[in-house]
This record gives sequence, C-alpha cells and structure tokens, in this order.
Amino acid sequence: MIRIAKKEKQKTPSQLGIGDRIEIIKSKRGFSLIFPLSMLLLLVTLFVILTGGDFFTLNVIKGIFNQSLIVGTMATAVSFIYTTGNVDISVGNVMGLSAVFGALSYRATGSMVLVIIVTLLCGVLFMMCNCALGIVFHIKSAMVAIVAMSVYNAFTEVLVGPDPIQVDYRLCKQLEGNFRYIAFLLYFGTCLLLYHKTAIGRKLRFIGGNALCANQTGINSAKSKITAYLFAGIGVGLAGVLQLLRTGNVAQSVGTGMGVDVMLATVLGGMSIFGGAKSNVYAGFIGAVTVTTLNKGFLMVGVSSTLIQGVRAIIFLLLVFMNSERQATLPSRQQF
Amino acid sequence: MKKMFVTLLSLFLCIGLSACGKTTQSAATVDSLTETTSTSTAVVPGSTADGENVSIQLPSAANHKTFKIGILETQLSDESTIRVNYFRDYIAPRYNCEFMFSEACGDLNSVMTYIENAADAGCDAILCYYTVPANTEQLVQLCQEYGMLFIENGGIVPANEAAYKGGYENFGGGFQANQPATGRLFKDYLVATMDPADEHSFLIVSGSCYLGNMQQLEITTNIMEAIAEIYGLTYEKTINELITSSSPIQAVNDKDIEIYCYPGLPTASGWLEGLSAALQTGKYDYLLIAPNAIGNIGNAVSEVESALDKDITIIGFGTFGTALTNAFNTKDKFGNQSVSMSTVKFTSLVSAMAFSKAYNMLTGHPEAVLTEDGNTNVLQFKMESVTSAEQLAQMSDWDVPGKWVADYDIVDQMLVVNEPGLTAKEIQERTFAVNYESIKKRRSD
Repeated sequence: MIRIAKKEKQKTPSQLGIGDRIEIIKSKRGFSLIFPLSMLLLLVTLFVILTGGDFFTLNVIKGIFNQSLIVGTMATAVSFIYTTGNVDISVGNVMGLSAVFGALSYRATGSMVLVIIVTLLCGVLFMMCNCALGIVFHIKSAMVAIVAMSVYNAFTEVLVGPDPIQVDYRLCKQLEGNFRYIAFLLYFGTCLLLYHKTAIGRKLRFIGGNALCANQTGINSAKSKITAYLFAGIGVGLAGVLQLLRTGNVAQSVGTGMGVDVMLATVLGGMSIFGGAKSNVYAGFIGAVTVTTLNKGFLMVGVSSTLIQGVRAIIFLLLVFMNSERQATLPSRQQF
Repeated sequence: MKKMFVTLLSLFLCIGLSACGKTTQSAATVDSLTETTSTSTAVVPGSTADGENVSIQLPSAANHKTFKIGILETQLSDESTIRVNYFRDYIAPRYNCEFMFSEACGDLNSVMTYIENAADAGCDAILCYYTVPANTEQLVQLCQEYGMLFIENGGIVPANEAAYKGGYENFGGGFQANQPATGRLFKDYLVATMDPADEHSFLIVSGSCYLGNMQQLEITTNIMEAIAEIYGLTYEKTINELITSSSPIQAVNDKDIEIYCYPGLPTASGWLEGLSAALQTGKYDYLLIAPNAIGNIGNAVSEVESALDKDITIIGFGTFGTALTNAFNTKDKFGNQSVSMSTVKFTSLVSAMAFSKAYNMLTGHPEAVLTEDGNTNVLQFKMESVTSAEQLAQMSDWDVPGKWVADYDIVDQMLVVNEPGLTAKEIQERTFAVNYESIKKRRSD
C-alpha cells in the first residue's frame, strides 16, 4: 500500500509561531554546540551570583575540570559508538577492569609507564571484544553491553579481592598534574579532528542516520564500527589511567554505575544516544562539566544534600527536554 | 490538556521536593550567630525535654567565626538522619558551627570529590564516615592540601597506622565503638541463653569481615568463640580463616554442628538472595548477624519461618530507628519477637565525640586528640545490648531531638575551651561513663 503524505502548507514568516521559531533555531547546525554551552554558562553565572563571586575562582574552575575529566573522557570515547546508533553502558566496567590490570602491573613491576600502557591496551582489548560480539554474532550492542557489564564486574571483583590494589599515591600525584591535562587534550583534540574533519566521522554519522542507506552507498558499516570501538577503547583506557592517577588505588566497586553517568553526560551535552547526523564528539565533555558544575555549585550555595538530588534531576529533565529532538511522527533516525 | 497535565505534575514534584528539604528555625538561628559573633546568648529550639525554646549561655569559645564542618556519609540511613538532626538542629546553634552534609559517597572517587567540593565551599573540617583504612592517609593528605582537618569513623589497623603515627597536624584521629566490648556482648548473650544440651545450627552473617571491618571481625570472632565454648567444639580451620573468607564457607568442626559463614555487603546486589537461599535450606535455626542488616533480613526470615514451620532466632547489630523498632515489635509465627538481641549505640553520643575532636582542634587545642606518646588517638564508646521491645522503646526514647543522650552538659565536658588542660584520656573516661545505667539514672533523677 502506498501512502502519500500530505504536503504541509508553507508558512510565511509572519505566520510562524513560537514553536516554529524554536524548531528553526534548533535545526541550525551550531545549535548542538551553542545550546549546551549557553546552559553551562548560565549555570556558572547563576552560581557566581549566588556565591557572591566565590564560584569564579581558579581553584573552583580547576576543580570542576579535574572532576569532569574521567567521565568526560569516557563520554568523548563513547560518542563514537553512540553516533552509529549503538549503545554501550559497559564502559564503566571496562574502565574499571582496565584500571585493575594497570594496578596489577604496577604491583608486579613498579613501573608507571607500564601501568599506562597496560591500562590503555586493556581498554582497547575489552572494547574490541564487545565490538566483535556485536559484529560476529550480530547481537545488539546494548545486549552485549549488559552481559559484558556482569562479566567484567565479576573479573574485577575476583582480581581485586577484599583489599583495594594500591598504586603509590605520591607517584600518582606527581603524574596527575600535567600528564592528565596533556593526555586528555591530546585525546580530545585527536577525536575532534578525526570525527569532524575526516571521512571517519562522516561515515559514522551516516551509519547512525541510516545504516542500510550507508551500506548501499558503499560504506562498510562493520569496518566503521570497529573503528568506532577502537577509538572508544583508547578513550576508556585513558579514563582508566586517569582514574588510577586520581585515586591511587582500585577497589572492587571501581567503575560501577559509571556507564549511566557517561550516558547522562552525553545527553546533557546535547547529543542523542540514537546517533545520526547531528552527533558530535564534544557533547559528552560539556555534559560532564555541566554535571560537575551543578554538584559543586549546589554544595557551595548551601543546598541541603537531601534536596540536591531532586533539584539536579529537575534541571537534567529541563535541559534534556529543551535540547532533545522530538519527532512529530513515528520515530525514525535523522537523515543527512 | 497533556501539556497542562505535565506542567501540573512538574509543579507537584517541585512542591514535594521543597517540602522534603525542611529548613527549620535553627538555620535562621545559625545565621544570626554568624552575623553577630560576639553574641553570648542564643535561642536554641527544643532545648528542653518538652521541646520548648530556651535561652542558653554560650561558651566563650563560641564567639568565633562560624566553623564549617563537612559530614561525609557513605549511606543514607536511620542513623544518618538522626545525625543530621543532632548536628544541624542541636549542635550548630550552640557552638556557632555550620554543618554541610554529603550525599551517599560509596567509593573513593566520590569521597575525594566531596572533600574537594567541601574545601571550595569553605569547610574547616571533615567528619568522615567512609572507612576504608587503606585510604585514610591519602584522605588526610588531601585534606591537608586544602587546609582542612580530617577525622574518621574508625580505628587503628595496620593499613592506616601510618596516618595515626605520621604526625599529621590536620588529622584528628578516629572515633569508633570499643570493638572487643561489642563482640563480647554477643558472646555473653549466647553463652547465657543457650543450653549445650540443645542442638542448634547456625548461619553467621560475617558481612565485611573479609574487607577487614574491625567491628564485624570482633562480633563474628566472639560468636564463633561462644559456639565453640558452648559445645566444646574445635574448628578444622582457624576462626580468622573462616570469617575472613570472601565466599560462603562451612565451618567444619569435630562436633558436627552445622555452622555456615555468609560474607558480603548487605547493599550488594544478590547478597540478600544468597542469604535467603541458605535460609530456605531449612538447616539453620540461629541467624547471627554482624553487619547492620536486621532491617534487610526480616522479611526473608519470616518467609522461611512460615514456609518451613521453623523458628529462627535472630541476634544482630542494629541502630535505633524504624527498622529495629519494627523488628522488635513484630512477632513471628511462633509468637516470639522477631529479633532476640541487638546491640545499639546512641548516635548523639558518637556524633558528640566526633564533634568534640573537630571543635577542640579548631579552637586551637590539638593536644586533646593526642595519646600520651604523642600519636593521634581514637575515641571509643561502648555499645549496649537490647533484648526486648520495651527496653528498645525506652532507650530509643532517650536519644531523640529535645532530649539527646549527649546533651550540652556532656558535649561541654569534652571541650577544652570549657576546661583548659583537659586531656584525651579524660575525654575518653567521660565518654565511657555515658552508658545504659548512667543514662537511666540521669533520666530518673
């Protein structure tokens, strides 16, 4: 049966309502960057006013950046996966298990260089395992992630045991300073470049928009997914390194629940977890900074801890509501 | 219509949340104290037993800038609610302090994040209820970096010895229950109530003994020793080996008494299911619980009692609150109270101990937290045991807003500003003097 859609009558500028104007603004290409940034700026301004300027100090800003690094790095990493329309919530557990192997290698050798290499490699390896399960056995990535979460968590618990595995905290503090900034900026910059300025990013967005169409235009979606998981693995491994440097140890609970934090940061940053043409690689980091800003800001303003969760939830809902794409018809993925 | 419905629901949610965030009169009182630091009297809500407001004379040391103290919680429970009421409504106005409570910080990363945020919010000290001994020194150093004091809910174990003996000027040491005494409450009760002629089988919930939790180690060790003493049995493995196993283990013994040790964190997923499965085997008629989990386990036990027609005796560790009250007031299928014995503590007393450490240091008396040999000390309190609903009702009614166990008299006795030259040893003696008998006497006077 062929259905012919009724053509909507073209409206003149004077006939446009507020809703239409909002839709026009939202359809602009820069909106996905400007909106979350504006919201972040608004929040910062609000907290600066409420704290009488205390919120706008170098220490606080540095603190926000530092606290956002781990989730921000992971959110940047998974944006490659989300772009293709796949969801992976096991990244927190992958990060945790990678950090465990890194800490174990420190215990065995005492070498921080080896810790960094092992953690990075493990991140890549575990993410590639998730990818292989999806591609080879054609299992939905979300299903793979749910199973992987349990498996990686079990490995972490067995390997860590009752006592946290310690890495020399003083050594971590020394490295934590400049190393983490350089490592993060290097990774983030590379991702930005590859995602927005090369064919890699374009292909991933195309697949996220319509995988069938992308295949028919000659894009090998399996190959692109491998690329996506590879970059995600590097990011997740790096997050494992940053986690180790920050806390100086890994406990059984490392990374648990972080997959959801990453997803929340991504959505708050203005990216749809269904991927597609409007996806970007910076949304996750902006989202992570927003979450940290809210947490720190509320605490500094003196909002009671019992209220913080509720207020934060309302703001999250509000931001997601304002920022999300709502289909007028049945849901379909965004096209180019 | 739909939009209106959504707006109404959102409005309802906002109003509900605002109602939850109760801001009592005390907040205003704190503000007024902050503004006029030279004030020497203040109105404290609910200072008397009948809850009326009275004017009190502030100690001279309260005429200082408002001390801001961060309270770092690992889980939100009945106990943490009592703590919030005590600190925020009772302690804050009198001693010119402000308390900043954390959300539940379950891992080191969130603990560090809270400490950093507390420093930015202007906190002078952190009272930390996150107790992983291996992280103590690291957290002390982190607080040192931000110029804050650090006091933990815990004691000295090999993993954190370096912090206690490291001469950190910002470390106020720990506060915790006298663990051997707590363990002995379990042992004494079992030995006094059990007949060696009766054969029983035991399910021992060893909780986080495998993680090195000293309190649970003491309790479980005493339970195992009590059983060994009652039946004159010998275990095939050492008690320490059995109770520090991170997986469930049968405590094989020469008298073939069925004893099963079940470890794990009560908050972990699958923990309760595993315990229920063990109970449903119908083997065990004694459930001995080292962690604070009576509230979690009650339903699982009553299901088994009903299904298998088996009377299970529960002995455990608890805190005043709804969960324990319900457990003592609920009769099982056989007409017995659900819990036979529980240890309890007076949260206000423990909080007062923690506060005294912070306050003494903040007012320039670090010697009050040092042992005679110059190391940082651990302030201890003794737990009490409860065996009936009536006793529980009586004791829990002692430690409520308006008539806290650790009232201003008790707190003042722990502060050097009120008694120059007060030593850590004397503070400890005064803390130990607050017990069931002394409180009963005070209340009857």
